[in-house]
Parts: sequence; C-alpha cells; structure tokens
Amino acid sequence: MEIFGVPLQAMLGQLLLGLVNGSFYAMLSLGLAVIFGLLNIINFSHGALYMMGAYGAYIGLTTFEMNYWVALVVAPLVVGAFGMVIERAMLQWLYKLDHLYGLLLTFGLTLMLEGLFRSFFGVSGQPYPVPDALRGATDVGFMVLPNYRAWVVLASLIVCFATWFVIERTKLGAYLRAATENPKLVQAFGINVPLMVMLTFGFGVALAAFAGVLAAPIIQVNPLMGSNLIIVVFAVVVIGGMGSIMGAILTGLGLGLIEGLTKVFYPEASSTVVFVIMIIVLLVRPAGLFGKEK
Amino acid sequence: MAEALLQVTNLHAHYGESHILHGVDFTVNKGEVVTLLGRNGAGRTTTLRAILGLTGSRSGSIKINGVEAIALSTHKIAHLGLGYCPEERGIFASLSCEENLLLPPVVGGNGTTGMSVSQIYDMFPNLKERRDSQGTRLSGGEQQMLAVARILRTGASLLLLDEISEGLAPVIVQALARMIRMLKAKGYTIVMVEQNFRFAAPLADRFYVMEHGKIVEGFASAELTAKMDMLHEYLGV
Repeated sequence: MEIFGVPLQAMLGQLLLGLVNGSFYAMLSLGLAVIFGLLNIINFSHGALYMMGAYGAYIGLTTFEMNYWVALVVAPLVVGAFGMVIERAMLQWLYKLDHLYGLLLTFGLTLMLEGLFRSFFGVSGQPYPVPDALRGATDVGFMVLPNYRAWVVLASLIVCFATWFVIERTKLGAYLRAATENPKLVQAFGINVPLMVMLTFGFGVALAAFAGVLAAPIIQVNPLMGSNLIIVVFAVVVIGGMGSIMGAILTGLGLGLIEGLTKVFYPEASSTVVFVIMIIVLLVRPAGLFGKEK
Repeated sequence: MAEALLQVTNLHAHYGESHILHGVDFTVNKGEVVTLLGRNGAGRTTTLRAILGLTGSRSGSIKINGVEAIALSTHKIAHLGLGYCPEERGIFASLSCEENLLLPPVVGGNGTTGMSVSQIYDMFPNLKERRDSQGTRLSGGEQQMLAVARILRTGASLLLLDEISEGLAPVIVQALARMIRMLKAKGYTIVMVEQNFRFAAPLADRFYVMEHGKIVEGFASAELTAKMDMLHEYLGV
C-alpha cells in the first residue's frame, strides 16, 4: 500500500520517529514553560540538564550497576536537586531583572556544564543499552513497532498529562497558577512562595533529566546532546506560546509529527521545517499558537 | 480593658529609594473596626502593605497578637492570623471563581476557624452562582465580594481591607457595609483604608488620619462630629 507514492510502512516508521522526537520536545518545552511562568527565567541550561540526566543513567550503570528503571527515578531526583541548588544560589537574584540576565546566566551555565562533561567523557558518544524488558519489536499488524520507542512515547505522554493535570486541576496547581500571576499576593495569603519557586524549578529540571534518561538508549549519550535539541525546543516554545501547559505539550508532539512527515516527503527540509513554522507563527500570531496576546 | 491585636510602633517603610512611611504609630484592639483616613499618597495603602512585609525595607515594630512581625517573611506574617484584601482586589485570571475562593490556606493558628464555604455562599449567593466562571470574568462588585470572601474562610482574625468600596455601585457599597457590620458582630478585627468617608464613617469604632507617611490624628467615632472641621482640613470632605 502506498500514500502519495510512499510505502505505508516507511510513512508509519517516520511518523513514529516523529512522535518519539515530539515526545522529547513536549517534555522539555513543558518544563521550560513552567519555569518561565513562575520564575520569569528563560532556562537555556535546560538542554545541559537533559544531558546530565542521560549521563546520570550512564554513570549509574557503569559505576554503580544501577539498572535503567532505577536510573529513571534516581537521575531526575539528583539532577533536580542540583537544579534547586542553582536556583537558590544564582537564579533567585535575577527574578526582578530583565529576562536577558537569566538567559545569559543559564547560557554560561550550559557552557560550563558541557565543558565539564566533555573533559570527563570526551566528545564521542557512550552507548547505553536498551533495558531487557523493552528489547525487540512488536508486530501490531499495520507495522512493526520497536518496543523501546513505544515506551518512550507512552512514558512521555503519561508524564506530560500528569503534569498538566496537577497544574490545571489540583489545589497545588492553583497555587502555582496564582503565584505565576501575582507571587506577592499569594505569599501574603500565607504560602511559602520562595519554597514553591525552588521546588518548581527542581521539578522542571527533573523533567528534563527524565527525558535525558529516556533518550539514553536511543541516541549515544554525549555532552552535546542537549545543545542539539534545545534550539529546536526553543522554537517549539515560541510556536506554542509561553502561556499554556497544554499548548507546550501539543505543540511539541505536533511538531515532532510534522518533522517526521517532512522526512518522508521532502527530507532536505526536515531539519528546518520547525524554524520555518516558527517564522510563520511569529508573523501571524506573535504570542504563539496557545499564548495569550498581551 | 481592651486587648491590642495589632500594635504598630514607629513604622518606617521604603519603596526602593523613596521613604514612604515616617514613623507610623497606631493600635487596633480585638474586635474593633478601625479606619485609616487620609488623602491619596498619605501612606495608608503602604501601611497595610508594610504590615505584611510587602514593601521594600521596613523598620520599627509591628506586634500582631503580641508577636513581633517586623523581621518575619510575608507568608509567616499571614500565619499570625492576617487576611489581606488588596486595593486592586487581586483576583486571579487563571483561576475559577471557586478556585480563587479556596486559594488562601488556613492561617488561624490559635484555634480560630473561619467561615465555611457554604456559609460564605449563603452570604454571597452570586459567588455560588458563578463558581465556575473565570475569576476576572466576574463583575467588579462580584470580584470585590470574592476578594473579601476568600479571606473569611482562612480563620484570619485580623482583616486588612484596602479601599473595598472603590469604584462600586451604591447598592453594592451598601451590601459591603452590611457585610462589615456582620463581620464585626462575628468578632473579626478590621483595619480599613477608605477614601469613601460616608461608607467608613458609620462602620468604624475609631479613626486614624494619615498625612505624609505619619498618623496625625486618632479619635473614636463618638468624637466624629466634633472632629469634622479638622477632617475637612485634612481630607477635603
């Protein structure tokens, strides 16, 4: 069977790849959006923290014989704690300043972290094995589905929608939304907003690290893996708009799919299609597809 | 003998470089309704904000229920039993009416319990009707009701209300006056900042007049008629 001259198998394969990429875009842009909302910080180091998550899994395996499933919990916790230290030590002094200062600080941080990992591990990638339970592929009738990639999409969807649910439907989320609008008033009601800010940054960072662990078996773990991804993720955030949690998730997944489709029909454009869309969105809707116009 | 719930002594406060409060002294006793009068810019709103630590640097003494609050951070001050209704109302756009109502955590540390949600809905039926609406879609009057209502269920015993009658229709202002009387009857202690003298005059037990970041006069409601000339001079009412 063919669609526009492309075999269905190839098309579905690329769509799945796109969905996998989109899962990473969604998890990372979600964290960026939550952090930007509450902290007013454009966290450029998000990619480096994603990379640290992957290295957390790699170091855990090679040094402590920590298996994948344990790493999936431990690495985000460790990297998230590291993020909270960064927030208390550095970022908290920048909230009242222009976005640019936060961007510059986290950019510098990115260079330092990547440099550090490069000097320890070199620039070539380290392989990380797919966990035994997720090896192989399943024939689902219309295509052969690699188990690990299916797991990545599933795990990402669960994490993204759980985050959406907590923020939009729970009391804790109400505190978060309110503090995003007017932190001083929320604090005047008796809520420890500085603590909440620290935990939120820790959570956003942990989400990046979780994505890093998920990515480890798919791509070679290397110090620059975050830099390669973060530029696209920023484009995703611009397209989706900073204001909306669901917007960040849907835009991430959608753009991954569009990238996948572009690979099928016009491979030459596959690495630029996201940026073309970004330019169009910026011209037509500067606040982003889901953003609120000011 | 009346018991001081709030005692402010020699309070100074700054916003950045500007020195706004220049040694404010006043006392509010348990169960009283006290109104801060004064012209715009006299420092009344800043006084409320300084009590909660929402200004820049501040010095002096603020005793709430006998606890010194000058060095506490804002959220800890709230837990001394304060409820704050800001001048701009502070209704959250990303929260529904009911989420706004349920947002402030319980702060009544000393066993005081606030009103229940159903009591609040009995008092403000409009809020019940519109519980699922986005907070900022409510009318101005409803938003004001919501801004006051949400600090009534926290167990706060000391309410700081900033210009609650501002910009509202007379019928709503009357409803707010009834509400203040009812709150007073329930034993709440209230500090009001009011521009609307005719709203505040019949409600307050005592008045303080502020000018240039200081309290320049304090008197009880019984002395009100005798003080009208002085008030004319200070407020132009």
